[in-house]
Amino acid sequence: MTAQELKAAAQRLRLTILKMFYQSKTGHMAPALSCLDILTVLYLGGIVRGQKEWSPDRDRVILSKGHACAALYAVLAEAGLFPPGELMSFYHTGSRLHGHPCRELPGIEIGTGSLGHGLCFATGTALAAKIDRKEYRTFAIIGDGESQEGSIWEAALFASNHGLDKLIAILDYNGLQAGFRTPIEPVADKWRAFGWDIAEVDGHDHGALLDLFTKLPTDGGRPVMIIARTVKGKGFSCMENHPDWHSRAPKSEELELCCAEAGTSVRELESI
Amino acid sequence: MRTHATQAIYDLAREHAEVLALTADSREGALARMAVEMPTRAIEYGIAEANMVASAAGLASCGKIPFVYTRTNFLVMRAYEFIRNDVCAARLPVKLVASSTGLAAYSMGLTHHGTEDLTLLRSLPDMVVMTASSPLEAGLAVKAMYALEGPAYLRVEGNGEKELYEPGYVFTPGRATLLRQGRDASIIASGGILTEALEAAELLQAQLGMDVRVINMHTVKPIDRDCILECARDTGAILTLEEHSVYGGLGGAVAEVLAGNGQGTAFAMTGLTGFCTDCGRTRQDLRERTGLSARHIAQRLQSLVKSAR
Repeated sequence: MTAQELKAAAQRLRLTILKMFYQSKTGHMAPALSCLDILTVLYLGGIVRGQKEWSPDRDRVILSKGHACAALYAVLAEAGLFPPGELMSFYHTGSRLHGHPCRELPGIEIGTGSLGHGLCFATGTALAAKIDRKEYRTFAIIGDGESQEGSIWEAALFASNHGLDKLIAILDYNGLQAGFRTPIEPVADKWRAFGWDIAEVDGHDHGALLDLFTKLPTDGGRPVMIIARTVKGKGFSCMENHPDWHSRAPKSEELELCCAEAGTSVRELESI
Repeated sequence: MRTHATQAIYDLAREHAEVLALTADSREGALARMAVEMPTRAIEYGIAEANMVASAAGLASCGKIPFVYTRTNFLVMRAYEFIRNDVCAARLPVKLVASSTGLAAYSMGLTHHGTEDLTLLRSLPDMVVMTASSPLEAGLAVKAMYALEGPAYLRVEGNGEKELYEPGYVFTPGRATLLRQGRDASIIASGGILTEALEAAELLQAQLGMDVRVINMHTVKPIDRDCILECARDTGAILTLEEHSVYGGLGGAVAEVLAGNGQGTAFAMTGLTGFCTDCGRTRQDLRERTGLSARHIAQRLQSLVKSAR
């Protein structure tokens, strides 16, 4: 897909996510919207390889900030890892689409949800590639709030000490956590001091993301941290940058507003 | 036991390309040699156990069999949630080998006593939990862990434990080992503390003519129910013994079996009832001070049997 097509796909998936939360009535909607564009480019932009066939040499993707799983689910279904019809079972009894990702769902390397685990797990998959001299890469999407966990920095130190250059962490830097603005500045300096190569990007610019991911060097002997500047709740003005939206779903009147902003109607949304 | 356990990890690594040794500034014994001879497969994580355990899960998800080796509390307690979510919930073949279990680090103080690990790990689904009682058994248990499909945990205590078995000893996870036959009462124990159990049995034989059975319940989970029920049926009295908290460890596991099926078996648990805050010049000193020496055990068993009559 081209950047333009990715943008259109992400817009479509925003509506899918809106519908998922409308029916679930609960969950972490705004955190999903902040990393949706990143995940769209990774999976639909042809960056992540070998997922559909679940090849042993597939690129690994680990959503360390597991609460943003709705975005991952929407993208995985779009990428053909499971039937899109299953998306509307999000949060339902017996569903494989839990409030945090579980390994029973195709496309999930490891269940996440407790923060500070995914990047540590990712050091293992990246190290396995190095030991076996394989080319597959590991992408780990972490949150800025999550970066307060000590284990993130254990992983950061280990990854650079062991030269895990097939490890790419992406910081979904929306600046907000559940209760307050995340105090992690100067964040680039921190990762640089831990021995990582740094790239900064607008996490909603499909062209810039595609360009960066395509040209990503993964043989420099150092792990890569992509600091993606994002907006929590991206796409819907009532939630953008609003801390209240960390873990909630839209109510009926909000849904109408969201639909209007997305150029659709509730009736049309229901037909998706 | 540490020497034999690390040697067994080394041997497995020599034999199987997917075996790795992960350490947290705890590379000792044959693992130091492994780091020289197989440098990409002996991985030093530094003093950062949470990352090490989740990273081990990542390695295992890519076909590796990581043996994670460090001191009990740093491994089990510091990284507990990582063991739960990344290893157990994903049923990945990560093999946790804990040193300094029980009071093996007798002079190091409270932080280094590994006395709650069994309780914590026993509650995790799919985790096999084992305790080695001698150098030979430590090596055999490490090798048995490799053959097990999913996650497994082994306590290997310290160094200098007495050998209890002859060469040729067969170790089967989940099947208890009979160390001493007897019909008047049973001691079910696991770990190096079995030496105290055996000595207690000898004392009771010599002093009172009591015929005490001693069982090595090396696998605390899944526990050998048949063996426990056989002890209940044959001897009518069971005393458990562990260098571990009495809450939820081996004693708890045996109690769970007896509660449903024990049919009035006289039962008591020996272990630590609180923190061991003493310093010991020797491990034996601490066992004396915490009521875990042979003479204490003999007294406990004697009164248990008396109360049952």
